[in-house]
Amino acid sequence: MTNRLRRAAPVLLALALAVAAPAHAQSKKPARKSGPSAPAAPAAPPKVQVSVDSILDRRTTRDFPRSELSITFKLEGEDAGAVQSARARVTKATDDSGKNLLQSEADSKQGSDRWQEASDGKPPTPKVDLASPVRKAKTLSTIEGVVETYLPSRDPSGTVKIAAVSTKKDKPLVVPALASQRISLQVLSKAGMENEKKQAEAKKKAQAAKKKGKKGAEGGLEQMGEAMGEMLASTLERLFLSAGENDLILKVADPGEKIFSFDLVAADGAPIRSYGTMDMDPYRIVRLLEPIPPSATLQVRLKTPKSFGEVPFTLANVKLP
Amino acid sequence: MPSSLRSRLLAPLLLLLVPPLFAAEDVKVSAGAVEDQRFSDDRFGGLSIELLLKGTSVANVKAVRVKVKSAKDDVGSVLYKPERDEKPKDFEEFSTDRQPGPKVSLSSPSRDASTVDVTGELELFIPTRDPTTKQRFEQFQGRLDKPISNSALKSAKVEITPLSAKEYMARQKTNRPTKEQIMAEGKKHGATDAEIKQALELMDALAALGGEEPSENSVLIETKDPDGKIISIDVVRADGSELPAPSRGTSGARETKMVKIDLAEKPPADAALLVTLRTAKSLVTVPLNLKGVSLP
Repeated sequence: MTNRLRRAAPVLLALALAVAAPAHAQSKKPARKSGPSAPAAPAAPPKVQVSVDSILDRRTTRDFPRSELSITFKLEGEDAGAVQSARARVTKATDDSGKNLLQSEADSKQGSDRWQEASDGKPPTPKVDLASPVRKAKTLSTIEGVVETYLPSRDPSGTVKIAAVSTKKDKPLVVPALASQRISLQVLSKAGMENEKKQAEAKKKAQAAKKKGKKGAEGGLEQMGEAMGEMLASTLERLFLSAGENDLILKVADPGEKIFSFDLVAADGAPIRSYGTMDMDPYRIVRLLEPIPPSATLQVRLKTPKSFGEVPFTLANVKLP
Repeated sequence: MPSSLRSRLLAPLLLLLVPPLFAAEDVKVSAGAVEDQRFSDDRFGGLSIELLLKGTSVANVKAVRVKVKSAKDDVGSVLYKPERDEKPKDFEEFSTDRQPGPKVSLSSPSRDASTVDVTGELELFIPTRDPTTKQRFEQFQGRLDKPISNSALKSAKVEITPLSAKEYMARQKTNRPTKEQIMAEGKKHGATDAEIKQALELMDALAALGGEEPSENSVLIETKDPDGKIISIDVVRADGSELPAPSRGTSGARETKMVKIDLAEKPPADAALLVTLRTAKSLVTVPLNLKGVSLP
């Protein structure tokens, strides 16, 4: 055991003593919607430097999960503090034996291109997964790529604020800045969710009744409608099971996919900590550790060309652990 | 009876008795999956080698404990250094279909290495060798918040207290270290302020996620087991059949541990606690000798 681990051990032990987490309890991972890419013409590159924050070379004889090299990047520089989200893509990566570490699209893990959020006042740390280097390789000769960044402060018009959001439940929010983007938004209470569920079930029953006696193309359409009704009912069932007491549940219609993300701030503008968002189209759950204060403001971040920037990077002779 | 005649009569009897007692020695241990997790932050990661148990007695093995004596890679790096104040680990439950199986955990070998050698031993808990390993406590729900006891628990220095929900919550709160205690302990061991802050935040997050209150299906227990003699605690019906427990939660260490067993149904009033303890007679030690294990 290293000295550093020895130092951390009592803290971790205290943690284990402190918390009685049931064996089945799983933390719900932040699930940011990957969504479409940033607008085609992003603004000028932000003043951000990219370096390697940490590396995990996971080597295994198992077939699944297979061996993989994960690299987490660190963002520094004048604009790094303004980066709210970032994701990286690698275009070239080789180890010192010459092995190409780029994975084919089929091999790369789903969701590895997800945007990473800034947290605790620190810039996001985007991560990429590459193929496993040769065991005897000591360094990565080259890693080249691009970090895409989202900087909402570059375009204040791209942030729509909804004050006292927790007091506006179960009715569509009237927000001209969102309506102009064809976005409609509703905050759901538990009762609101129950109502949605009842409506979905009623719709499902009505479609099943309609289907009876119909044949051919018309019957096929009814079947499709029924399948969609079933999907919605099952989404609502999962929503009920997934939503925590403190979570903010939103019903979102965004046909143009203009929304980038949601976050909450307290009355003094301080961010309210979330541990991720979960998408169950058309619902979105913002995970919260504590109840939302009545004065909290919801910030809807929109995708605008000015708020995106790309940072190309080239790193050489990166030591492997 | 003349001694020669006695020997002749006893010999076949001894032959009949010996196989069940020593059959566990036919258990052979080999290496299964190997995983080398190499982090740039050397506090984490390491090499793990899954252990495969083969032999006719493996089906009777219900728990195992691995003791590594030495481990080296083929370029000479030492992969196991015992801690000065290292306590023996707890036994982990075992069955042939349980995944993942037992494993040895070592430091990461050199990138230049191709193979590793490991020596040590594996202790096997085989309850069929000693009927006193199973201790049953009838109608425990009628005497909550008081320790249950018998001679087997006493000799194992084990104390078990079935708890009411109110007492469980109260003791859990009392046993939880304060932020100040965690900070002091972290400082004592040289953790940085950032590391302590991270640990405290993680504690809050875990408490928010995992602090489920007991339900009417929950069986709540406090154990004191300084020598790690408890292998398992189960809840059984009056007829001895096990009440399935889809979820279990524990917090604390051997000295004081809080156990929450969430059963699939409300336990009947006559349900019993079945405590499995390890005894000297129930253990068999087999050698661990892995040579030339290929590294991924």
